[in-house]
Amino acid sequence: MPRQQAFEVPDRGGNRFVRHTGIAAPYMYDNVSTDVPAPPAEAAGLAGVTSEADLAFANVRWNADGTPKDDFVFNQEPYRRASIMIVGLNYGTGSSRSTAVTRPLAAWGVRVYIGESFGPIFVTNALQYGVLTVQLPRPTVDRIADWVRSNPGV
Amino acid sequence: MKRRDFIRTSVGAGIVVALPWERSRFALQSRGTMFDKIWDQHVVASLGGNDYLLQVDRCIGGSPNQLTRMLAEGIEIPHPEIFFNVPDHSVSTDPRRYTDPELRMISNDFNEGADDLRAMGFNLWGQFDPRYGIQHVVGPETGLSQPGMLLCAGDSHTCTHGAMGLISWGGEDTSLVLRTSTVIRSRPMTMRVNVVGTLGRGLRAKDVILRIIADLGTDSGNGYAVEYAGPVVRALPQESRFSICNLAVEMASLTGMVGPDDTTYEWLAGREFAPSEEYWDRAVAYWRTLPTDDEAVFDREETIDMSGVEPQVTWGINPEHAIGINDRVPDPERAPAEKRETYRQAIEYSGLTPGAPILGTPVDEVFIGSCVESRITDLRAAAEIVRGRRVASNVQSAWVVAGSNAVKRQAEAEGLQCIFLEAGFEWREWGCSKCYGPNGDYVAPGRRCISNSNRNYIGRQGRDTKTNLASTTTVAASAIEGRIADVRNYL
Repeated sequence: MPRQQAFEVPDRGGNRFVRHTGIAAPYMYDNVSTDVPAPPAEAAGLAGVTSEADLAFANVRWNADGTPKDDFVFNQEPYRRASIMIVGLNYGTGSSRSTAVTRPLAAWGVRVYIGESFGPIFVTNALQYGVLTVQLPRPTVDRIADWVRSNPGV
Repeated sequence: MKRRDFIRTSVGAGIVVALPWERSRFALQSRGTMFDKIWDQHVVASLGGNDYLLQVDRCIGGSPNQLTRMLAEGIEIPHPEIFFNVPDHSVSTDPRRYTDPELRMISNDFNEGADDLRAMGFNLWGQFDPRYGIQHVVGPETGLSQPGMLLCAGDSHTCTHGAMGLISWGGEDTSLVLRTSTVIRSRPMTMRVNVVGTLGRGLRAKDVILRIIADLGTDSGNGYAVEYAGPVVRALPQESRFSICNLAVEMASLTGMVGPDDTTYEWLAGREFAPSEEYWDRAVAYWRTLPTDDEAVFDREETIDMSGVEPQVTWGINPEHAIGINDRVPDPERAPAEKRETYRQAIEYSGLTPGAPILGTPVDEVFIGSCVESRITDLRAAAEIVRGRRVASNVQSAWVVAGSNAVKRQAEAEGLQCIFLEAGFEWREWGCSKCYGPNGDYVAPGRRCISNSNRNYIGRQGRDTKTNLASTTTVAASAIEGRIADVRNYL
C-alpha cells in the first residue's frame, strides 16, 4: 500500500471556513455510513496502521493485497487531487465517529461535501473540523455530479 | 423550601443534581408530544432560531481520556456525578482478557488515575466492575436512564435509552457537557411511527424495527425525533423496546422513544439508580404525565402494519435492505431509479444473485450479541432455539456475547451457557464484540456473517465481510442450519 502524503488536520474548532476551490469527485451512493470512510483498522485488515490518511475509505479503496482498487473514485485521475466530494442521500449516517471527517481530510484534504442529505451527527462533526456540508435538492446534486463527470478536474 | 435545599435533601444513590422527577415540582406541566414535554423541561435558554441550550441529566462516555486532559488543563467540571464512563467498544471479549497482557492492554486504558477520578465523583466502570457491560445495556439495567431525562453520549446508539421514555442521542461533543452540564441543539421535528396489526409467530422487536426501516428508509428520520407507538409496541416487554429504539439512529433520527407505562416502571423498580422507595410514588406520578397527550400533533405520522409480515433479514449494505425470509434478493435493474446505483453496489458487495431466495444462503459466521439484543430475555429466546441441537459444520465461528456482566451472570445462573456450549457456540465475555471491530473481535475477511447487531454497512464487521442482519432467534436458527433459516420451523 503506497504511503499517502498526509494533509494537515486542523484542531477542532480551530479552522474557519472562508472559501474553497478544488477538484470535485462524485461518490453518488446513498446511505453511505461512517463505517465506509472510517473503518476500524484491524477490521479493514490494516492492523498496526495508524495513519488517518491511509485508513480513509480503506475497504473500498485498497484491495486485500494493498493495491489500489481501480473503481474507487479517488484512485482515478484527476480525482486523486479532489478536495470536494459530491455525495448522495444521507451521507455519513450511522456511527458517530469523527474520523469519518478527519480521514478524508487527512488523505485528500476534503473540505467540502455536496449532497442531497447528511447524517445529523456527521454534520456536527464536520462543523467542528471546519468542513462544509452543502445540502441541495437531488436534481441539483445530480446535475453537479454529471457536470463534474463530463468536466473532470476542472 | 428553596430549590437548592430541595435538591440536597432528595439525594438518592449518590445523585446530587436534581433529576427530572425532582425538578417537576418547579416545572409547568406542558401539553403535547412526549418529546416536546421533555425537551421544554430541559430548556435553559433559547438561543434564537431553532437552537436551544439544554440541561443534561446524564452523560455516558467510553474512555476517560478527555476527562483527564481537561482536568490537567485546570478546567473545572461542576457535576462529575452525571458522568458515567464505560469503555465497551475497545474491550476484547476473549475470556483470556483478564490474564493475557496484550488483551489487557486493550482493556486497561482505564486504570491510570481512575481512582482519583472516582474520588472526585465520576462513575468509572472498568472491566472488573460488576456493573460493566455495553453502555446501552448497563444504562437501563442499573436504572441510570429513567423516564423524562435528557441523556447524551458519544456513541450513536445512545438512542436505545429512549425506550425508557426519555430523550437521548449520541454523537455529542462531551467537552461542553463536562464544562457546563448543558448542550446546544437544534429542535428537531417530531414523528410518530404507529405499529399496528398482529405480530406473527416467531417475530421479535428486531423484525418490527427492520420492517419500519425497510418501509420508511434509512434516511427517513433525518431531522426528526421519532416516537414508536401503537398496539404492537405497547404490548412489547421493556427489553424488546430497547431493540426498537436502538435502531432509531439507523433511520437517521436524532432519537427514538417509547412512552413509559407500567411495563417500564415495573422493569425499573429496585434498580441501583432508580428512585428509592421513599421517592418512588412521586417519581411515578411525574412519569405518568410524560406520555404524548391524545390531542398532540406530530409533524409527521407513519403507520406500519405488521400483519402478515414474515421474519426479516437484510440482503444488502444498509439496514433498509431488509426483506421477508421467503422473499427474493431484489434486482437492481428493477429497483426505483434513485436506488439503482446503491442496489448495484450492494449486489456486487454481497455476492448474492438478484432474484435468488435469501432463505438458504450459506453463512460462515454467526454472531449473537451487541446493544440491540444481548439482554437476558434475548439469550433465553436464543437458547430455546438451540437447545438440544448442534451448530452446522460449515459455520466456522458461532459466538454468543452477553451484553453485560449482570446478563452474563444471570444467564450462567440459569444454565444458558451450557445450552450454547453443548450446541457448539462459543460463550464469550461481555462487550460490543463483532458488531464493530476495534476490540479485536471481527469477522474474518470475505466471510458472510448472520448477526443480530444493527449495522450491515460495507466493512462494518471486517474486511469484505457480508453481514445479514436478523433477529436473535433467526440468527440462532441459521446457526443450526448453517444457512439463513426460517425461525418458525424451530418453534
